[in-house]
Amino acid sequence: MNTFLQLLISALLVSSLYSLVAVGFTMYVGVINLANFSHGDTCVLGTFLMMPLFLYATKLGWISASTGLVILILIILLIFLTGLWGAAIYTILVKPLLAAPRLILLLATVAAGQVIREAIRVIYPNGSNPQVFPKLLPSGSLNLSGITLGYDSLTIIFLTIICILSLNFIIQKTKMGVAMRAVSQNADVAQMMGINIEQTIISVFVIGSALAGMAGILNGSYYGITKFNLGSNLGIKGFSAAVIGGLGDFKGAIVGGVLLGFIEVFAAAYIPNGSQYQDVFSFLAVIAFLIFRPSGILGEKIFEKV
Amino acid sequence: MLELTEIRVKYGKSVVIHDVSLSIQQGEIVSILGPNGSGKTTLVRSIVGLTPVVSGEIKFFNESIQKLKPHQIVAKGIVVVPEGRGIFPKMSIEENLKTGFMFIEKDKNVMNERIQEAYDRFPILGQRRNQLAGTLSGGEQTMLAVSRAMMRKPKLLLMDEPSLGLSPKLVQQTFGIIQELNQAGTSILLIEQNAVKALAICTRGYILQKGNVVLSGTREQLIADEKVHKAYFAMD
Ligand SMILES: Nc1ncnc2c1ncn2[C@@H]1O[C@H](COP(=O)(O)OP(=O)(O)OP(=O)(O)O)[C@@H](O)[C@H]1O
Ligand SMILES: [Mg+2]
Repeated sequence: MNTFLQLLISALLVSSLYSLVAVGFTMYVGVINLANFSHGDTCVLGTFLMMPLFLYATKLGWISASTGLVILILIILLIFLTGLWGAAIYTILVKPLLAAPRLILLLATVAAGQVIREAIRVIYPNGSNPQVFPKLLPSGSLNLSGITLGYDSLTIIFLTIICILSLNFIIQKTKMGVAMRAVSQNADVAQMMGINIEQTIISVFVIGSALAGMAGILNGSYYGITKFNLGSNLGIKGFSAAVIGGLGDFKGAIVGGVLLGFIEVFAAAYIPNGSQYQDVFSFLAVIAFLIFRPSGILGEKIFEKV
Repeated sequence: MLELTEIRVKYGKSVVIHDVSLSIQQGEIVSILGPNGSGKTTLVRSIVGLTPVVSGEIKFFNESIQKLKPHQIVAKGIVVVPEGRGIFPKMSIEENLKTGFMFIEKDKNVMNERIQEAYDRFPILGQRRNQLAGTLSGGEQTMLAVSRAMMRKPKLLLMDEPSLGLSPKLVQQTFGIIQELNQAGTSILLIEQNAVKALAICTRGYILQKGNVVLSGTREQLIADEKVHKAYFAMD
C-alpha cells in the first residue's frame, strides 16, 4: 500500500511536468492551428537562461541571505525572459510565415528548436555536456506514516496547479482569453468583431513560451540536471499528452499529461523491466488514442476549428 | 458615408472584383444583388480589410480606410453580419453577444444594457443565454448574429445574406428588423439573393455579375428594369 501511495506521488509529479508542457503546446494548436515543435527546446532554453541568473545572484551573495524570495524573483524574471523569447519567435519566424501553408510554419518551428539546441551547445561553456542545475526548490521531505513527500515534488505539483488555474482564468474570463477563443473558432469573424489578431497571436506565443520556461526550470530543479538536447524528449512528451487530450483541447492536455505520467510511473514499477520501456508504453497510449479517439480523451474543445 | 471607387480585388491571379464603384449615403439601405460567385462576399471582406484591394479606394466618412487593419476599420463604426452568420459555436450565447462590444467599446454598463435589449427583442436568446451558440437552430443563430451586430449600435451595418436558409416567416421577421434598425439611424448595406424582398425595402441597389456592376439605380428604377424583372420577378 505504501509503495502504491509513494508511486502515486511520483506519478503526480511527472504528470505535473508533462501537463505544464502540454497545455502550452495545445494552445498553439488551438489558436493558430500550429504544432510548435520548438516548444520542448524552449523549456530547455529556460534552464540555460536560469543558470547564469542563479550564478550571478550567488556571486552577489543574495542566495544565502534570503534564498526563497530571491529564487521567486529569479523565477519571475525567467518567466518574463522566456515570454520575451516567445514574442521574438513570433516576430522573426511566425509573422512572416502566417500567410504561408501551416506545414511551412511547422517546419520553421522544427528549425527554431534546432537553433536553440545548437546555440546552447556552442555558446554555453561546455555546452555539449550535461549541466548541474541548481536546486531552486525547497529540499527535505515530510514523512507521513512511511510515505516520503519531498518538498520539491510538493512545490512542483503546487506551482503547476497555480499555473494551470491562472491560465484557465485568463482563457475563460479575460478579454485576451475571449479573443484567443474567438480567433481559434473563426479568425475572420474574430477580426470583424474588432479583435486585433496579431496581438492575440503574440500573446499566445508569450504565454506559451513563459509556460515552457516554467516547465523547464521545474524539470531541471527536480532532476538537478539539464542538457542542450533534453527538449526533444520533453517536447515529445508534451506533444503526446496534448494528442491524448485532443490537440487544441486545454483541459484535455492536462488530463493527457496526468495519464501519461501515471502510465510511465506505474509501468516502470509493475511491469518487469518496465522502466526500460516506459517510453514505449506512453507512445502506445498515444497511438491508441490516435486510432480510437482522435478527438481526444474528453472530446470537448474550448478552442476549436470550425 | 461609405464610398468605393474603382476597387479591384484578386484571389491569387484571378480578378474577382473588376473596378467596382459604389456608395452608401447616411440613412440608406443599399442592396447588392447577384448570383452565386459574383463577388458579393468578397466586397464585404474588402470593405473591412480582410481581403486587400489591389487598386482603387475605399473611403468611410471621407477617410481612406483600405490600408487599415480589419480591427481598425470596424472600430470606425462598421459592423458586419457575416455570411453564414459567423457565430462562435463554442461560446455561450451571452459571450457571443459580448464579442460584439467588448473589443471596441469599454463601458460595461452599456454592454449589459445592450445585452438586455437583445434578450427583450428575442426572449429565446435570454432563456438560453448560457448555452453554447452552436446548439442554436439556423434561425436562432441569425437572431444572435443580428443581436451581436446591434451591440455596438453601428453607423454602418454590412449584412451578407442574412435571410439565407431561413423559413419564410423568419425571412419576414429578419427584413422587418432590418427596416427597424434603419429607421433607428443605421445605414445598411444589404447583400441578398432574395431580390424580391431586398428590393422591397432598399432605397437603392446594385446588381453584380462576375465582379462587375452591371446595373445600379434606385429601388424604383431597378424594379422597372426589364432585365431585373425577367431575372427576379418573372416567376411571381
Ligand atoms: N479564398 C478564395 N480564394 C480563391 N477564390 C475565391 C476565394 N473566395 C472566393 N473566391 C472566388 O471569388 C469569386 C467571388 O466569390 P464570393 O464569395 O465573393 O461570391 P458571392 O457573390 O459571395 O457568392 P455566394 O452568393 O455564393 O455567397 C468566386 O468565383 C469564388 O470562387
Ligand atoms: Mg457570398
